[in-house]
Amino acid sequence: MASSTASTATPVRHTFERRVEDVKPLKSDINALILDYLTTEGYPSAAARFSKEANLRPQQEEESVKARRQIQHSIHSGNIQEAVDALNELEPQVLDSNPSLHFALLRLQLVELIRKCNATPGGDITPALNFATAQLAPRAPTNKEFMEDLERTMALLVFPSDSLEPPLAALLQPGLRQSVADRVNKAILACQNQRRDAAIRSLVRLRAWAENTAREAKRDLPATIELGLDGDQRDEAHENGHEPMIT
Amino acid sequence: MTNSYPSGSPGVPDSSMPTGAPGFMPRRSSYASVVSGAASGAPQSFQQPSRSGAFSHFLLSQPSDFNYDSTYSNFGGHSRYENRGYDMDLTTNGGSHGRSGSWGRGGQLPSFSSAFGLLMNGHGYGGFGGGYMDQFFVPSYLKGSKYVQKLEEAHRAKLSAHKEGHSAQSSQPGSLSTSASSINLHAKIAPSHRGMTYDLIEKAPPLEDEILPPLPSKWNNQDKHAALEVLSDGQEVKFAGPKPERDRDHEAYAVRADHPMPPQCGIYYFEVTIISRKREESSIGIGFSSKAVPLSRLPGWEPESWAYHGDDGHSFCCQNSGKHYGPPFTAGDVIGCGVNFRTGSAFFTKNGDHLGTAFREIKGKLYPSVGMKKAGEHVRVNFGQSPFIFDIDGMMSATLNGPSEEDIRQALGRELESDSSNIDFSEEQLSDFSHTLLRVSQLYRTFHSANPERRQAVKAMFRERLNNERLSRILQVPVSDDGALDLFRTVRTEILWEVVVTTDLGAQTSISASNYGDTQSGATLSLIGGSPRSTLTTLDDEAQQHSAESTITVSDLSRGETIRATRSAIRMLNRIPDTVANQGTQPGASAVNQGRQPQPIALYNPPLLMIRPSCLTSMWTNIFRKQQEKKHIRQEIEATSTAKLAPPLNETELIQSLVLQFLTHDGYIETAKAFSEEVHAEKKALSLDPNAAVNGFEVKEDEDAGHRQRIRAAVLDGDVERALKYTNAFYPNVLKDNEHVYFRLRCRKFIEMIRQGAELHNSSSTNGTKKSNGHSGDWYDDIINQEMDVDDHPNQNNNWDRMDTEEPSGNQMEYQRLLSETLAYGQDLQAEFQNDPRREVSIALKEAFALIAYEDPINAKEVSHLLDPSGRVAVAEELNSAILLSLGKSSSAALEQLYQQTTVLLEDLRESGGPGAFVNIDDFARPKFGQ
Repeated sequence: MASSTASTATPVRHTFERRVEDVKPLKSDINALILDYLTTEGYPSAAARFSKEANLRPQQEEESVKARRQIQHSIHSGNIQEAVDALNELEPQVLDSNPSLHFALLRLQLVELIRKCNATPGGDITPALNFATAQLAPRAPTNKEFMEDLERTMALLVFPSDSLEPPLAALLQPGLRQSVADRVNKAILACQNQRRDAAIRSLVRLRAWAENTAREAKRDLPATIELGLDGDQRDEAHENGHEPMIT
Repeated sequence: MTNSYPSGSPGVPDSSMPTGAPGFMPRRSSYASVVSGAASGAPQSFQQPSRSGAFSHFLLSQPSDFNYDSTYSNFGGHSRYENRGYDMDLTTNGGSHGRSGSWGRGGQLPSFSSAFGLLMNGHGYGGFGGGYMDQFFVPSYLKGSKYVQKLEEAHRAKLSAHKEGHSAQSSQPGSLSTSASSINLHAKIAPSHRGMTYDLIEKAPPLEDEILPPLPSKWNNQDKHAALEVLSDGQEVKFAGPKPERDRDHEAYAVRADHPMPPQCGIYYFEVTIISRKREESSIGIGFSSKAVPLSRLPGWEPESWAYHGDDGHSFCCQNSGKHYGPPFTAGDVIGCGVNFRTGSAFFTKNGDHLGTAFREIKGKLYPSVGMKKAGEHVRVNFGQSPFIFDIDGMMSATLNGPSEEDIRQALGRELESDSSNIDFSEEQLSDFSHTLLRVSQLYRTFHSANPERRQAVKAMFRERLNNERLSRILQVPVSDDGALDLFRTVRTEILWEVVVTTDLGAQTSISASNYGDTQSGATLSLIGGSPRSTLTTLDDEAQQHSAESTITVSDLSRGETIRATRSAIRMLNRIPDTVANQGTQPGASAVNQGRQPQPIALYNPPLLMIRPSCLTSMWTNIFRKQQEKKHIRQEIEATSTAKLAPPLNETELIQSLVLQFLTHDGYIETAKAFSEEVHAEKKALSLDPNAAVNGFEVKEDEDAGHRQRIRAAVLDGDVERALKYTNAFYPNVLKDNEHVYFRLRCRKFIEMIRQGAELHNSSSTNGTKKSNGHSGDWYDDIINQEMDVDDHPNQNNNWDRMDTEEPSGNQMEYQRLLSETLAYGQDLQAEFQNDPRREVSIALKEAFALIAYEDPINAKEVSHLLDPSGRVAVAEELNSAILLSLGKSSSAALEQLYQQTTVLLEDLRESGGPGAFVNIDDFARPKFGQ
């Protein structure tokens, strides 16, 4: 631990960095991690190509990854009805067995309707109101959280969209679509007895946790531990200014 | 006949062991898996059933051999465990040696030694103790931990370094000057290269030693009081001399282990068996201390020392006065000591029972230690070379990954299907449950001492109570119900049977006999705790003495301790009347009734399933505890925010960047393109303004990536020449600047030439045999093909003749040409690098040239690994890294960096025995399926 490199070529380097270099992760582990991610989070064409290029057996049929991606895409683009239809086609029991997920989708659909009518000044709020009354209102009393969510969403109709409180404004951000899409994806995977979380997420969190914990324990660490994502950019700045992520 | 039980009975289960691992009885499921793992590594060494069967005959016919030493016969049960432990070590090590292919005879070692250990019993202990000290061992509860993985790696590195030392000397004559002169040197050189298996890149870096402390393995002869004697290669310590007059109570004699307990373990555990002859009050203290503690004091009396003392059962924490802690202990007891470095606490066990937390806030570099005061006191330690009495594996496993709620639900669901109530017991419920059991067992005792009328009444009460109590179904399951027993095993509950010895041969007895009388399934588990053999002795003796009495319980026999046994032990016990009565006949009700003894021992059925409350509460709370350490840490990790890792990226963006960067970095261009398109589409969909430009995530056409991909593909194909050509064309400076990479490539080319030659040689010779023997399926196919292809050539035989004669000779010429090319290339290589001062270069050269010495290097296990195509990967990656570095890029992708950093960070956390000890990166980074 205490010994430091005697190398003259490089200036003072932290022992930590030298030890990091000595770790040799298995290529096969990293490749499995990538394929798992591409499959689980639904990148069908990347997953298919990767299993070809890296010579790995596909984790799931390309078609079924595609179907999940399609649903996610619909949600990402705000076409909730399309997503619900496709989901009911693919795994009909997902929504039936998961009322809170169903409610989240309906709520997002309401948000999208409100977004639409807010987009044009003096837009007609009737479709949004009708939808709320017909779809969400009957479900809201079953759960206190549903009720709160519905009330908060309806507030979007009351206040002008450019002067919303931060929690309300967040509803109109893409983050909501993304999180609902993630939940739907996980629900489908769970339904198909697949792994729900990509391992790479755990790894990234483990990395964050380990650094936090080590720093709390006052371990001897460099001031910052670079991931190396933008390391290339620094070196190449004088060359031709590549994109940060591209090497 | 009486004598034959004590010595014979320990062997009985062995004789009926269903598979492999003779002499080792897997008391814990984790052990069983260890053994089966080893067995699969060296299957040929376990053709044992017949031999161990013979052994049981031996036992029965010559019991006196086992009583050669009164110490050993008194505590035969323990020494039996010890011997088993050694067997297992050897088995495991033998297995791994066999796998690495470095010890030709490794695979046979276990069967030898296990036979030896068992037949010799006491003798065996000293007999191969010397050998065993050098054996690498892994305490069962540490199996699979990252720390032990590292220890094993280091051990392997040491082994190969050791071998390197050997072969470096012996391989001198094999240098190129001689081997190049003639290919006829094969026969002469070959023997000197046997055993040359070191790996040229894998050396344990010195740093590894610094951060990887060894496990304690024996008492340290250099770190003991002069009055103590260390015996049996450091496993035993004895106070032989009489105590000097003037020494009073404050004087004692202590010894410490050779290494401190490594905090990296998370939990460290060892056991000490008191093997003094006298069963009087002992003055032994068992615990741990730092080097600063004087050896003339019992551990626990001084600062930096902690211990549990046998005379009063008190725990001593760095001071002269102790606190009430557990029962006293004396000869025959097995005391365990465990330290949880994560919580800084320590606990002790006695004969397999957890006694609760003894100390907190433990700090320092601590060595296992024992101290004693009285002459004749004698202890033996188990640092993990043998199975432990206490279920430390279960505890560790419960700490690491206690069964999930789902597991328990499933396990219990089988029994309690109709009981849909919550199975998640609160502590209150648990203690309630254990009290129920206690009451029930008390009832049972009353029942047995009562007169017949009272008995009937109690029986009725008992039944009723059982039916009314929660979980009664589990209680009521018949002993023969394997499912129910599996259930208890699944939830890691210790099953305690109160074995009741009764002499009245009523209906109950016949039930018992028919229930356990099957010899088919065999006993796979033995008695837990205590001194099994002596218990059995007593059981037998007492049963005979008390045969006139109506009932006695085993719990009366062994100093108030209930005999605790698993199902198989019950079987074993049950076999006693069979053996006594009627050797060789089918056991069963009739066998018991036909017994030679008028009133043989029998087991009452059903043996009471008794779970001792103290043990139950600790076990079950362990199992059901929501805040299990690992689960807790895992939750903590899952809840950690990644926002600080690479601001302003959120987790999803960070991962997308990591993946894309990896794909382009490693040259998976097609995937990178597809991925960036898909991510782009996702971002576009998410953006609220459809016209807003979404930037990032376009993969630029990267010339370098293509070049690197081609170069890597060439190396992976084994075409080093092509790789060199491309490299020189696209990156002319890389090989100049990275001479070691250049050398690796040149060496690899030589190896590939050898490989090509060997393949050619093998294919011509196998073709030859195939054709001359004409027995394989291909042969038949060939004929069919031939018939189809050469329909209009009537003379088939000519065809074959031509091939038989010409092909081999063509091959032969090709082979000769290749061989001379290879030799010429080798000479070039030698000339270019012979004066290179670097050790790794000379080793790699020697290693490569050694290949010439083998006629069929592909199938010579000493060197075949060098030829394996997997060796290309390392060369390819090294070259790729060198190119990347020359382009000013990092040699590993950010994702790999992240992985590497995490590994090192976890190492740091593990070092202090912190939470890192419970975290293995593989659990996180390896996708698991079917969750």
